Amino acid sequence: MERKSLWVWLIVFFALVPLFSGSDYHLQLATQLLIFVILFIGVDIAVGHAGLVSVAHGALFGVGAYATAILTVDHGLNFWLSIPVGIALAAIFGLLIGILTLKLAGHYFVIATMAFALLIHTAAKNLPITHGELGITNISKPGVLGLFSGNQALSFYFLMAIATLVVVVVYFWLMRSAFGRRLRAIRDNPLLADALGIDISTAKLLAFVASASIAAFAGSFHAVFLTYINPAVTGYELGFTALMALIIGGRTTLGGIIVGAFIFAILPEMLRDAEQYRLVIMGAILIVVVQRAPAGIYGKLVDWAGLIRKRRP
Amino acid sequence: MSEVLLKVDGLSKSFGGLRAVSEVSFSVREGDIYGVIGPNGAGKSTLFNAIAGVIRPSAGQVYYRGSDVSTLNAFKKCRLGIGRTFQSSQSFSHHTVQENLQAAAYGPASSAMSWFRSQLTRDETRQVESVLEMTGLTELRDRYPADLNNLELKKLSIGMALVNQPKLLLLDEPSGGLIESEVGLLKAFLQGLNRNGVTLVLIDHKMSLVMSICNEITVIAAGKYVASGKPESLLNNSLVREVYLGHN
Amino acid sequence: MHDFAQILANGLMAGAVYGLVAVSLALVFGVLEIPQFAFGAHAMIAAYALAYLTANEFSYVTALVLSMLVGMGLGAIVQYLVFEPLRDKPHATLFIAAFGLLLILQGLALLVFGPNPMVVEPPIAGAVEIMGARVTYQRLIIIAGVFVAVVGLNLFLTKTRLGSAIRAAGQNPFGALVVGVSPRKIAMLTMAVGSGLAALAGGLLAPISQVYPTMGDFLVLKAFIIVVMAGMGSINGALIAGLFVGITESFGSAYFSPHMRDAYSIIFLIAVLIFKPSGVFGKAGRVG
Repeated sequence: MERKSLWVWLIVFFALVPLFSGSDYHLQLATQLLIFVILFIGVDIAVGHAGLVSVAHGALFGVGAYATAILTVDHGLNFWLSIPVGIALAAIFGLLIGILTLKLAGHYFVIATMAFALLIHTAAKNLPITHGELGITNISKPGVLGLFSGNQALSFYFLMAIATLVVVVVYFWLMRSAFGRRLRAIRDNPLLADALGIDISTAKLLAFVASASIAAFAGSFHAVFLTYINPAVTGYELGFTALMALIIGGRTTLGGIIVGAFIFAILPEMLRDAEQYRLVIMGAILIVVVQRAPAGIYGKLVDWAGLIRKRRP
Repeated sequence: MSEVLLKVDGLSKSFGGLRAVSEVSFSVREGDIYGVIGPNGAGKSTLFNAIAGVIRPSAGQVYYRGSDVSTLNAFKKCRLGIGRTFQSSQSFSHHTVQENLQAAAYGPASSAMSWFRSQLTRDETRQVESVLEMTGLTELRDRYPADLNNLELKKLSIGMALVNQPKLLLLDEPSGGLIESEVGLLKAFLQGLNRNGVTLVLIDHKMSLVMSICNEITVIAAGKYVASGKPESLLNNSLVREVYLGHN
Repeated sequence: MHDFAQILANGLMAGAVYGLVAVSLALVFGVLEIPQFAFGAHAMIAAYALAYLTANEFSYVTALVLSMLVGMGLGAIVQYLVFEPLRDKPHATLFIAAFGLLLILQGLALLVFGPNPMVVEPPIAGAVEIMGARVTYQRLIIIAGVFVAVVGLNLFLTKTRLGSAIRAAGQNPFGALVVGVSPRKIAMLTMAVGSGLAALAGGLLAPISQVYPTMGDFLVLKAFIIVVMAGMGSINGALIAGLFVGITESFGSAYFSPHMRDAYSIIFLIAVLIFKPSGVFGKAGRVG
């Protein structure tokens, strides 16, 4: 977990992004980045801190997105009210999935979570309430954006930045608390954790629920950001992406999460024109990082920075 | 007559067709240093893990202070006051000695709200300090487990169990990995703990340690009860001799 | 009755392919503990090899055998370059490496062959009527091919020295050493055999599904679900579970809802997870 000074740097950086960006397009990229940062923070609680490699949380992001889309478009509910509904729904799903899968060992656990993600995806494609394959369009952006004059892309960016800040604060608080400590103890030595009085099952379920809630929170914003969603938003691919982003970028650190979000959410967008090369490049990055920088790129960067500092007289 | 703290009654454990422990019974009184010994493969570890809550007994009961705790998980037993150590001294390798002890303090949840606290209570902090002193690790509080020698690691792992102030401490092969001089120091440490009010139950195959430190011992072999009593009486017991014939 | 037979036949064929990929996965998963998510891509590469060969005057059977060899070679190389350096790393890491491999293979296929599917003509065109079902010869070839492959695998694992070494390694990481073969070689061999089986699946499927870079994706996903359903290390169980999934998907689509096709296998998986998490055929030893 990082020092608090990092926060200041990050807040300053993200506050200044609008100054550096030339266009709405860049602002939108940055906004999308922040949405994924929130999602990955959520997944990190289960994957990074608790060591539960779950692919299901991508689908729970989709649950949040659909909750907001359905409630605002079909039922005229206010965006802000749809958020707790999405969170509650995802939390319940997260709890159920956790109860069914947490007793499974290692690789079977991952596959089981993937199966549940597929189930949610299939439901999204077929249930009338989700509008099936067509998805939901005309999702309107939150009214509060109107308060900021002029540029909608700018307003949304700031909205996202504030939302992200809130999540980051919650994440740091939770993970520094007894809850976070128990998760990491379970991750590092479950037998010892058990002997020290840690209720492993409950802790893991709570981690699942916390991850699900934050993922859904991100999903709600995603729906209004894109103003259109379809079942792809519940696809297991996003769950995989989140997992990879954390392992490649770095787990349990905000820096790692941001690096991961950049590589997996933004880089493909930037490489959009060279589809075939994109696949090979991404694949190669995955394999090389996993072989050479097992703690993630951010960790490697910190190491290199440390080495450089040592060399200075 | 002091209270019976732990009562093991007809405990059995089978794995598939294999009967690892068969109807073992003994009682531990408060203040005892109780030993369970037997040759290799006697089923001591299985018995131990069944008492500690890592595995569930196939038959029989475990009573702690009169209540049936046979099917409780290890973490629940910890909260009731039963601590345990592992044969290979376990600790969190990326935490310092002090952080390890603090991690142990954060373990049991006293309430729902306690999940969200970010600091130890003053009592817990004091307890961590006291354990550091008790184990003689105060100077080493900022070192990592990798820097410690075997005896220090052993004391750390015992210390972690002590943080939550157990009334009963189960020690799994405490002499494991220690050389003779270290065993002597361990013995003094354990006796000190016992004088401070911790009841100890240890399984070990090092006869010299068990015989010199325990006031009461049960001998098992091939999963079955052989004999129990004071160390001196067991030395003269022909059954016990037979079981150890050829073993040292 | 006529409909029933048709649905059954379709289900059997799909199930056979699923089963073959599941078997290849179960082998590698059980012995090496590697979640080889890229096996679908291995199948795809072999299918491309087959397509290329048949387009250049090779007979289907020859091309099939050669593409299996390509698959085996690919497996050995992949084990050496990608997975061997990651020995003893946690499963998530292996999963990601496999996924990276998948992306690379798909990207390469896209680069070399382009996105448009390549067509492969079935060696024997036409169909035959069996109990009222119209079954194309290719489908019969698939079922026969899978059957032969799995029987062959069983013989290999039980009757040959190398096969026994693989089985020993599956029981215990030191098992291979006990039999006198180095673990690295066993790993390469196991991956090669698994990859060869996946390659066969690709080659058998090619005349039916056409060959394109993402053809293996849905296969490997189903295969994973099947392997978990069948249970750790159960190779023949994986085939049976695969057939089961194929048949139930076929009947489910016909009698309930075609849209929920993908969900049937998941529902069964969830049921297995609830009632027998170790898998339908799961047992304590790892490979058997």
